[in-house]
Amino acid sequence: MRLSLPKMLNAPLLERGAKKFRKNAVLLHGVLLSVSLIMVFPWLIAISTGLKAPGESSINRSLIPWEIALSNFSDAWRIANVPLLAFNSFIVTAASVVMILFLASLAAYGFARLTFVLKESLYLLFLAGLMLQAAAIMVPLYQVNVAFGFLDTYFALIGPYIALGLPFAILILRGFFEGLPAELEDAALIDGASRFTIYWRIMLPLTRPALATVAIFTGLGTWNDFLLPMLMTNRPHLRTMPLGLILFELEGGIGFVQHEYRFALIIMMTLPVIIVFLLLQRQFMSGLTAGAIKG
Amino acid sequence: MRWRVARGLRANSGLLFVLPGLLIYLGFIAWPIIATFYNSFFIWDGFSPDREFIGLDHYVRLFTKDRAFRLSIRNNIYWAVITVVVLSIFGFLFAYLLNQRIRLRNAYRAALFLPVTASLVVIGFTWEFIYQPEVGLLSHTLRRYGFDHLVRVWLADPDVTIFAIIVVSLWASLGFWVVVFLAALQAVPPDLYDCAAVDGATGFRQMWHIAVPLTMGTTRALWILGLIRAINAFALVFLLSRGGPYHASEVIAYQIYEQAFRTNHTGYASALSVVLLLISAVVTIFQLLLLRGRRIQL
Repeated sequence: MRLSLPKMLNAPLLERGAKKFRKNAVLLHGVLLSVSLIMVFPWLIAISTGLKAPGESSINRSLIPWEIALSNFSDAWRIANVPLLAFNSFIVTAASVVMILFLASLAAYGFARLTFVLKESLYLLFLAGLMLQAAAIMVPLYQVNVAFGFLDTYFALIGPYIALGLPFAILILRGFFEGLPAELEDAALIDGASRFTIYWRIMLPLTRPALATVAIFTGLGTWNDFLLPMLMTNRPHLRTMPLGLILFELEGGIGFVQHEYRFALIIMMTLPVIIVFLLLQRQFMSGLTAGAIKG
Repeated sequence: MRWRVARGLRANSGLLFVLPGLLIYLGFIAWPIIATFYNSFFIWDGFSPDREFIGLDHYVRLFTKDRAFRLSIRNNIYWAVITVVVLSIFGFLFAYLLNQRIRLRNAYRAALFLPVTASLVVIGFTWEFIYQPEVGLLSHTLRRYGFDHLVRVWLADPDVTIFAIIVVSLWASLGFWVVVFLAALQAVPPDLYDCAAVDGATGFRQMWHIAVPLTMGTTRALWILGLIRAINAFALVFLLSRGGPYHASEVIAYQIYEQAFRTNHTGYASALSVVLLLISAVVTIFQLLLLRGRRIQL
């Protein structure tokens, strides 16, 4: 907080102010620290359990493992077949995000710069989809995959992810395109460039920040989703990471739930996302903040 | 004539830009939703060719005879009210604190925000472990510090389970609310606080009379978002309690899952979906009224 000049000159008042400020700071950090502890504690439990020897967590309830059992990680890696899970999650997420970015930017350019029949009605139709979440329409999504013959293929996941991701992406990208000056296109139009060329060569490169926002928001949601993989795929070789974690206890003849293995898997699943998050913190925050308008 | 058609095509060439996305959107969302309305009038198991038309009977049964549905509605209302109220108040307060120039600001922010990046499956399993009966960390800690009378079977007690799940939801989304509020607070010109300070307004009154009204747009957007998430709550209920015990912690979306994918009552599940969609539609209309004429800021 900035102090105004007359206060600065008043020494006793300043001293009292400083003391009060210090007391406030202690209170402030006290509150923030305790909340942060509550927020971090479950992660500490996850990490400590993942490091304990199989079966230890039911006897040793302290956060510090008796011994560090790194073999949990290799066992969980093998039993859950992490490379396959990661590959599937990657394919589904990458395909969905790329398609959303392409189709949404194309449509958003049309909405922002071109005129055609029913333009605003069609835009409203897309916006209505902002409120849809997969949980509300899981029955119709399943039925449509049955009708298309997509069950047990990547398409059964990618199709719904694209359709559910378009409304938010179009909303963000239309706003961004409309913020770009129209003069950019005029020269190219005079030179006889087609509208698609203008979109692809001139406008799309300029929308990179908005594309990154959309990519992070939709990519994170797709990577973490388990509902659609659970409903639409049966075959083990299509399993994504979150689904693999849910089905983990049924596999590899563990029989009963080994918490230590499961948490080792949880650490391996969460760590990469957290690293990416820490690297791209600013983009993440802006992506998810923009996501506040999406349900 | 041919000339006029050509001009019509040309004037509407923008349609070509919208068409690919529109087809996928119509195919995967619009058309199936219409089909769901239609299916809700039938008794149907989801795959067999014969189905029996029963008109509005599913809806009558939902609102008059279905105890699980009543509990679901109650739980969704709990979910909406608790999450929106708690997250508005605490999300705003923490954002306000973090908006001061203080040390460790980024560390606090990251600590709050980490759950937002994790999959709900990860969050669900971690909290299931904490909530374990007897040996679980929560019960164990309460016992150790002499609060034995507070210990419950967290995920199998009809009076407690839904609240235990809502607590996880609060934990998982607090960071998101804080970060969104923080972005809004950073757009408030700092001069305003200085002016208020000169006029003698301090601490709480500065927050109440400057920060709160100036971030109201964001707050309203977050309310809508909180409502939509509460209406569609599914994952945590599925992961932590499967709606049990005796439907005590069921929510509408979980009922849809049970009816459609566990017991093959696809017609009935469609009616549930329609109810959920209609509730969402009411919220959507509010959202569209809010968004109208406002450019989205990144």
